[in-house]
Amino acid sequence: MERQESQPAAGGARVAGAGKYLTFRLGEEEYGLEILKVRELIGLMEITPVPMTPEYIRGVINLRGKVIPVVDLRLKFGLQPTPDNDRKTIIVVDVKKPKGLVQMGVLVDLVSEVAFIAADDIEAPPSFGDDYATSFILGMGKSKGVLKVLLDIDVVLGSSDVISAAVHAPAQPNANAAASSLQ
Amino acid sequence: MWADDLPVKQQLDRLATLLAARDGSTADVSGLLGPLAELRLAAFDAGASDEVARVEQLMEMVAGAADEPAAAAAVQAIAALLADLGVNVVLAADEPSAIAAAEPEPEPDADIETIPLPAALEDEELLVEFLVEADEHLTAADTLLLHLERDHDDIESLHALFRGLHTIKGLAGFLELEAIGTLAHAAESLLDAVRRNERVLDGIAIDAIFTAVDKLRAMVVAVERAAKGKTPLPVDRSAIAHAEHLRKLTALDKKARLGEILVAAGAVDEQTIDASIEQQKAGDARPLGTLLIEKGVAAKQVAQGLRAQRLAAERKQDEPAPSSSTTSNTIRVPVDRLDLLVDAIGELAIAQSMLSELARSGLNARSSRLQRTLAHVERTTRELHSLASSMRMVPLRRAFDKLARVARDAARRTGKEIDFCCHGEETELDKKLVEAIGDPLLHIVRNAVGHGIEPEVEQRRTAGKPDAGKVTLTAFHRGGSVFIEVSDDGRGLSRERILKKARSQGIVDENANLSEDEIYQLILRPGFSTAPKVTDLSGRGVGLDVVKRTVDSLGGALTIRSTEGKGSTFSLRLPLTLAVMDGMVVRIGNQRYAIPLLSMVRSVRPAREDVHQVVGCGELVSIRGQLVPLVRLAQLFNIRGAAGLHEGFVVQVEDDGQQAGLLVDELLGQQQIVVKTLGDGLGCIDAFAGGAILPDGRVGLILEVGAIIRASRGYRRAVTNSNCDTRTSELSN
Repeated sequence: MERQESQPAAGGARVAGAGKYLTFRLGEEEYGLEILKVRELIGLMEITPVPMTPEYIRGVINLRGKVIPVVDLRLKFGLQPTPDNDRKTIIVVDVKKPKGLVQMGVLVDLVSEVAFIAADDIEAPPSFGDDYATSFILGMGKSKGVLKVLLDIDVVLGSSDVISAAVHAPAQPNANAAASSLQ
Repeated sequence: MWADDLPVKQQLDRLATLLAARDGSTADVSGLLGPLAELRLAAFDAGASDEVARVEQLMEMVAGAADEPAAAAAVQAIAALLADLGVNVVLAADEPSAIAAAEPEPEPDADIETIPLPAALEDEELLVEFLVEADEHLTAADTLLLHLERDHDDIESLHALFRGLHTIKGLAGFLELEAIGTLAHAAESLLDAVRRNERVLDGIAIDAIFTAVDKLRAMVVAVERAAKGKTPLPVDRSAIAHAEHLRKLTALDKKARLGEILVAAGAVDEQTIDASIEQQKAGDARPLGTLLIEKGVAAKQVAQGLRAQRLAAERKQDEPAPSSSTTSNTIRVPVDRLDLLVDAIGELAIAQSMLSELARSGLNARSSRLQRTLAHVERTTRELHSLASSMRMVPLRRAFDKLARVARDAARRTGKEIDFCCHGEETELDKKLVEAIGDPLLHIVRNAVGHGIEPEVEQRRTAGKPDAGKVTLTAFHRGGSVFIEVSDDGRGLSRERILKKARSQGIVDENANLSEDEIYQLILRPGFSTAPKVTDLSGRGVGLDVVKRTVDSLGGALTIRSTEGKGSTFSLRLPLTLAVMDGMVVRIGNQRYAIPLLSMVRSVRPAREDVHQVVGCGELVSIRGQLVPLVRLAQLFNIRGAAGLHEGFVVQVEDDGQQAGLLVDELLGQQQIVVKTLGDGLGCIDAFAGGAILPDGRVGLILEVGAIIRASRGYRRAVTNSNCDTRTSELSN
């Protein structure tokens, strides 16, 4: 059985390895998360907003007695907010923080499938020049003819690049630009 | 087919995802329970009774999976079910993760050789039983030895100690742990010789058994580690050597004679005994005791020696069998299973309150039978909840037993004579808290022995105190808290010395006027030590600051009382259980927040004329003639749809002597809330102390009153904005 951890590349940022990815949709785009990072999927439930936090932090939920934050990935990537619906899902992931693994929820539009992506079907993250950091992208994976952006969730939920993109320039976000221009 | 229903399909897919994502090396499959429960409901709705039964069976397997093989079996069974229903699932390989293999090899030790792991250790049940029992008996052994050290005739302790070592020996035999068996056997034999009155339990013997207990403990830890990591078992050769030493001690002086007893007790030297015996041989018919008293030996000590000799003779007659037939009506349950139970009951409570809510608003609202039944369910659920929480409570006895040993060792190392006693060891506390305060208490006790008690006996004598320094450990309930206090009758804290040191370090201003309490709190600062020289025990300036931090993080407080020359008391105040507090739940718009009751002064309905606009200060509200800043929480938190000033309530709060009035829409009532951390995922948020799970299962945020009052001082808007900025940068770090 093939099950490879993504390996650190020379530059420090990790690159995608062959393996299973949980794929999901944000708007028109397909994204992938390393399956080993995923703890569980839960349907959209009522989320308690936490005031005085960035907009992309939807709030906190009660996950069987544990309080975990939920990040709206749409807002995080600077996409237009959409009304909540039944297809939206919270993916509970383990995120590496300086203090250790932390559980966080990631709100996405629709969970698609678990796909195995072979090494041949993975390309290195694209480069858009120095202005656009793409360290939160592990690579571009192809599965059933569809290109998926494989995310490094540790970077997405921890990096200042993506956050500043979403907070300071919501009109022209990096992630969105990166994702759509690849299509 | 029912499995083709959309909701069922969703659950099946979810399960498949979870199974595929499962890390094969962990035993934690609790995450599968939720989807299974929903699958069961879906099957139930579809009327597929066979599948319901099958899923229920799976749920039991998952809930009961305590170890890896059981978890793997449950996963396999679920996969089989999914396959039967036409959902393909690829399981993660059940191999231990690569991280475990990459662990650095332990440093080779000259005294340590390794042997292959005995096959018997693979019997997990036996292994766990051994580890638990060994830990229990070895902890008890420390206490028993301390009793025996104080009173050599404490037969009860002697028997209990013997039984404990005997049990360890037996279990080690089962598990083919030769070294542990040998050492336990040697220690047991020595004690047996004492029981059969063939040997005196003197200081040397007690020390040797103390060492044996320490070595046994180290070896048990090594066994646990080796069995977990499936690595070869290290065998400590020094343990075998020590067993040999114990055997020699056992073989030594088979008969307890008065002279030997007295020499062992240090009451008399051997020359005096020899001289007296010579005198007897020369024709003096008087007993040895009388002759010794004549030679200046204290009569009291001779009497003690004679008593020991007589007791030893009596002991020979009523020899009890070394049985361990003390049956107890308790069951050992792994803590994580208990936690699962508490969590499950928590979920039940949430489901129950949602059900009650539904019943109240539904068509059957008038059915009194329904209401009665629901009330019954509610009562039972609450009872279950408090029962489950109480199961986590454990007495402090074991923690105190360990501290007795710590005090003894510290006394030995400093060469002081310490009289250590405990009160209130039956006081119960949440298990997690008991574990968390172990190290802080250890520091404090070491401090009391190392620093508190005078280094020279003469100093104590001049102060009119007994030679032995008294260190007392006390635990008791007061209010909603548990207090644990460590007192000593030593030198006490010198306020001048602390102040001088603080001034020389520049912590305190030359002219600052500090209260007694403020001065004592100085010694809790990192890097602050008044000890003139660093010793092995204490004085490195680490310790007390760690103690304070730990206690703070547990929601407790550390206070110090001291009288110079008379002694000091370190008092720990701790909450009964982790993070439960009384809070007032309030509503603002459609959001609910909890305000800690401790910070609340009162709440009022403000009148129009009570609110004043003051340039530069924002709004002030007068409550009973007192002007405090008004904080419109709806504005601060950006909540839409909140009521205006005159429909709402103002909650007067206080923190650190500063006050503010918080404007809320409604007071929903006071309740006990369990504080949950908002998690590291959010970084730290000033305005909230955490989240509380409200009765309907949603999360309500708990206000951090101090931060909100600070935000209310002066320019409110700017503070809010800068808070947002710091939040962002914290997240990005």
